[in-house]
Amino acid sequence: MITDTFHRRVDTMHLLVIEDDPVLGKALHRGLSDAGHVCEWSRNGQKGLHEALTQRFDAIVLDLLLPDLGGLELLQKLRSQGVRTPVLVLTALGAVDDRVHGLNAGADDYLVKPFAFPELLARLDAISRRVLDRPSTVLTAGPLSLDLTTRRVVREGNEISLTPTEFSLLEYLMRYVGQVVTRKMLCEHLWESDWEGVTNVVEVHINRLRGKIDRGYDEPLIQTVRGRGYVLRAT
Amino acid sequence: MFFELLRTTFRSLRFRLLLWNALAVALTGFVVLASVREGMRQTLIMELDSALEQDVGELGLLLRDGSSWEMIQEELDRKAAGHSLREWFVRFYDAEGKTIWSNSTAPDLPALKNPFPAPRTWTSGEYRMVLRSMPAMQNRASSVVVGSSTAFIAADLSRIDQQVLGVGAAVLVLSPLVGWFLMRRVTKPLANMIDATARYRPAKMYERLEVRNTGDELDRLAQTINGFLDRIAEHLEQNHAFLANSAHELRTPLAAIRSSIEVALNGNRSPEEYSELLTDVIDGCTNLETLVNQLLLLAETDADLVGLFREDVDFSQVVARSVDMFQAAAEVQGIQLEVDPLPPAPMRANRYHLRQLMNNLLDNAIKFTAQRFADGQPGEGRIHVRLWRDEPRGQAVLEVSDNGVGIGAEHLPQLFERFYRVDPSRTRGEGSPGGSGLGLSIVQGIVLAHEGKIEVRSSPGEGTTFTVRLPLADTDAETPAAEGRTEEKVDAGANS
Repeated sequence: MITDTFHRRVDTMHLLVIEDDPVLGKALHRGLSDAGHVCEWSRNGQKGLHEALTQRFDAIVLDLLLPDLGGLELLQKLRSQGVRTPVLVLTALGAVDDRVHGLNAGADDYLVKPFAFPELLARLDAISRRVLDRPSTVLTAGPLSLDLTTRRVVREGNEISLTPTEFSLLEYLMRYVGQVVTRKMLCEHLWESDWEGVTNVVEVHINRLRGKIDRGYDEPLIQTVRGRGYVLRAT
Repeated sequence: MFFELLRTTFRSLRFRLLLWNALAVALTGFVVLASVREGMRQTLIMELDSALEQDVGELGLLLRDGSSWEMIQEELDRKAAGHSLREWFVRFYDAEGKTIWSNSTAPDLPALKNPFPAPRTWTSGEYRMVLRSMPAMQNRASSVVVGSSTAFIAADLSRIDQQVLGVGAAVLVLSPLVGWFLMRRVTKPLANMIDATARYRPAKMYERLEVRNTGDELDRLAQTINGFLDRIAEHLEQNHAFLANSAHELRTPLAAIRSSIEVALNGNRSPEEYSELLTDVIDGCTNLETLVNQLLLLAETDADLVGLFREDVDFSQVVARSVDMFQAAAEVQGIQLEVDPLPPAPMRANRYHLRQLMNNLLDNAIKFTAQRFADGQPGEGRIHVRLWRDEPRGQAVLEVSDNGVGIGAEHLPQLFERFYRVDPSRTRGEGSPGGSGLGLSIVQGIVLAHEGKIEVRSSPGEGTTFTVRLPLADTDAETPAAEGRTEEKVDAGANS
């Protein structure tokens, strides 16, 4: 029931997780495998560096705080050896300077612990897509299609008119079709603000979007996953 | 050990004050005594001069009397014998400067090379002499010198010198001694303060320096240090309370997570039940995360990390975006969220923190306005956002006013305190993360970290207005620099 929300269309990625914490490492390994990726898990920095240098990966998940070899140091060694594999850094600190350091050292993105698993999936997707670089102007999900250039949204031949916020929201859901998208991710996408206060600022837009694209159809495309976020299902 | 003691002594304030004081006393004493001595010497010479003048005058009278030359010589010899102690003498010269006559005890003096111009008064060797012209004398004499030894003046001065040296030596010895004890009055309280302050420990913040109520600088120093200690103590107390409260607040979501997991592990359940329980765990984690993030945000404003990560931000854009974010959420709750036109408000600030500030204020306003009109109260909820520039003060002023439930006057003083809840029963327990009682503390923390000010006005049943003042970027200094940057950018673009 739950795991199947991780299952997605997409191409299988070959991933390397470098994480010393056994609980988090196990969860990452299992979660990423469940999402359909081939995942390898290194429990320390030296081993991780060796793996990263000797094998080809689509992306690397790297914890910054490793006992033997610091995450940033590892990253620098990796880059100095000419390995350009996209790297997503995990940090517990989250201060602005960490971000700057991490990105300067060659990280492609970072995620502050604790994080929502869908966010990790989305970001891994994003950084590996950055490499694949496949521009697409029309997104489709089942009966729904969204044209980024003409800004037209069509479901089963019926054109749907959306406000800019709703359009942006739908675009994001369609990019991660079949995958849970958290409120926080949507909030950051729409307003560059990670709001987590009382007022649910996303829900109202989701409800309006539902009213426009799901009303009158038997199968609702946008579904709420309690405690986690929303998912656009194209079955 | 001994040298160390010596070095500490030499370095001490008391010793140095003493040294300077002694030097000043010695120098002043020397100058005063030296000028007294010189004055004395000049007075004695002036007295001698006037005595000699008088003698010359008498001599003139004697000559004019018409006494015979022999009688005059006899008279002068007698006078010289009478003043032999002072080696008084008289000597007559002719027009060429040759001696015509002198009394028998007169010292040998070189011939006057040029007897004129007369009159003249001078010192030669140990003699003081007065030269006067003597016209119309029967025996060709044209000038006369009357002189006297100055030995008695030198003797007087040496007596004075001895006394001066005695007094000077006494002053040099006594002044440091007196000073040493006077300095004690200053340095003793200072030494006490040093000893006391060295003993103080953060764990025992109740100790304070003794104030002697003399009103002098040392007293003021003690009072200032005590005031500083008061503020540190208050700060520490707040931090202790904050730490305890934080731990306490973290327990609630932690307990929820733990119970859900324990229930899940306790016996076989259907997949639906597991799913339900695990969703509860996620909810608990979300609450925990929110709380931890808020605590971190507060820690950042406390440690003034804001200052480290400032950039050029237009506050009006932050306000506009935040209003856009809350617009629809307010609308569905029947609240009108209105914004007056926003003038640009450039500032050096932490963009992330400004967003949190604005979001928290709007969230707060929506919460309290919805609370009032949810109970079927007549009327319409209204939130008004205004931003303007107070140019004379160089500030941007943000006003967020609502017509919500309002805040009672008894709550206003503690409103910004951490974990303070106006209505604890209402905001707690429902698992609502925003009800942590930290929202307004964060707002205040961010405002203060940006050298701003926040005020609140409220009347229960009518509404609340928050006014935030934040310093604008120094436009006079900023504008040319900003232009320079744009030009650089254009150049770089043209080159590439």
